[in-house]
Amino acid sequence: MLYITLLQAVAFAWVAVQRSNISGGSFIAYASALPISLSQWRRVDLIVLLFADSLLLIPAFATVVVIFTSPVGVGQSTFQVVVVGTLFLLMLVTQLGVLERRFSVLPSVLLTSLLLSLSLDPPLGINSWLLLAVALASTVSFLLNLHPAKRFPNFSLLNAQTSLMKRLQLFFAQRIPPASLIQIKALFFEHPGATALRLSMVIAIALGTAWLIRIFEFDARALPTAIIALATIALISSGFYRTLFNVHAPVRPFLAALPIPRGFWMVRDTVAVMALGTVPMGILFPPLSDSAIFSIFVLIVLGIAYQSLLILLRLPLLYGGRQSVLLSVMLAGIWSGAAMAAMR
Amino acid sequence: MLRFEGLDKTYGERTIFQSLSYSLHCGVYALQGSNGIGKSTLLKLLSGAEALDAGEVWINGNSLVRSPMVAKRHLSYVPDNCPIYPFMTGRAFLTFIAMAKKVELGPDILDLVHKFGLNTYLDTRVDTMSLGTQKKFLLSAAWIGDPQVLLLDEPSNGLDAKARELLVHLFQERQHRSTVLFSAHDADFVAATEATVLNMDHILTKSAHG
Repeated sequence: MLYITLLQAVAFAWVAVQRSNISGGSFIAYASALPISLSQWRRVDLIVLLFADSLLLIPAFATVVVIFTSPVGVGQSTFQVVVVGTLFLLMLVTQLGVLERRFSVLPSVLLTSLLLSLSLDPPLGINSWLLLAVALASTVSFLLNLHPAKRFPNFSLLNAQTSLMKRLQLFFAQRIPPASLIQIKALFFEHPGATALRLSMVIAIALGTAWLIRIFEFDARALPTAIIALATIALISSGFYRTLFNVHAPVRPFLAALPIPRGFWMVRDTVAVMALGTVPMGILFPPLSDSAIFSIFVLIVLGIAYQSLLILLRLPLLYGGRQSVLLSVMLAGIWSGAAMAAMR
Repeated sequence: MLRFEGLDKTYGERTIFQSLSYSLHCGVYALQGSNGIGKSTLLKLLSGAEALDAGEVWINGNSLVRSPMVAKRHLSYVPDNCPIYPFMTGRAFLTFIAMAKKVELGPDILDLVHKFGLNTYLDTRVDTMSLGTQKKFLLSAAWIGDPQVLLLDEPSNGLDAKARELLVHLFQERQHRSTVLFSAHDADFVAATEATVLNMDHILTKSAHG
């Protein structure tokens, strides 16, 4: 059950961070006025979702290949393939729910996930098939009947979120300088999904690394592990540059007519990303400071090197064009190698 | 107050301006000409919103190329669209402009906001405002910092009759102490402002003949 729920959570987050792009971006306001039926919208959404899910489909496809190549009976392999198919369809239901802001579907998805997980309990028998059939039927019925009254209906949870957002925005607006307010709104209010996902990932990596280094009992593997974790955290955090850059881009000509320095946003965005980068550093470093291998000096040097990497990662992300990801990974890799060599 | 010399601008193969020069003193000027002749481009170049290929612009005697910060402090630019952060509120936008110009958001601007009927929109997101309301905020922001040069691209577009009247009044108030250069196709609005009409063809011809 935990594994299935985790997969649904991944599917949810995967679409939540790309929701605007998958649903058509700003063009959709115009397209909504065209005579396109809801079922046509649904078909388009499903096709775009399949493309967006192409990375997630690889493990599903690999599982099916493993099932067919493993020495189990036809009944068992057929059952497993249907399970994989149902799981995938259920993920699509979750994602459509996110895309169409129909979060009311999520409890039903959880219930179906429970049925699916119960069907996996050995031994394989009529009960398993029955539970799987109910889960599949319920999933397919969601897909067929999840026709929204309108494309993106108002939803009470959404309204509640909006109201909370408004109150938070008002709170910040009265206390924070205007430039910082723009960054906070851009990251936390305009792209809450992507920001939450990035922060959760870096925090999880920091916690996981601290735990792993304790398991290693601070042996020779501890330092390289910390360095690789910091490089990965910096790589993930550097995505904030892209978000901020994209937010400033349409306003840039207007800003150019204002008496603000040329590097106004460059400096502020870099400081903002560095500030966000201190969160995982603050989680990872205190547990490490208990050991002799991570002396205060080593931690200070590591911290400075990590913040320098965060600054440098701005360059490939903003000026690397189509190779930005590759260049960023290369930069982080070179940094890791150099850091390991320097710390030896 | 506003002077430009030898302005060059090309987009790819297309030359928009070549050695464009002109000088304007205090007063209200309406820039007119056919669509696509370069009125908006000229205003963008003069405001620094778009980079020059060559040439020099002086705002109140300050070079926009060599000392842009000082020059821009004496300048306000209102584009024809609304290039503001969509998530900003009207109040946050005005505060940001005041911060950029290193001035306080004074009672004169709050009074202007009131006259434009924007009080109820101060805490509204820009992307949920109508085009007219967005324009009123851009116009209110243009008056922040007591600018000596105001460059406005189609400022009357989307404004209701009352706001247009107010804008005419604001232009006339400025005519003896600032240079107000605006582009407009609306002959009635231009007539109401009693602006000196500058034809783009005339500027281009005058520049071509030195």
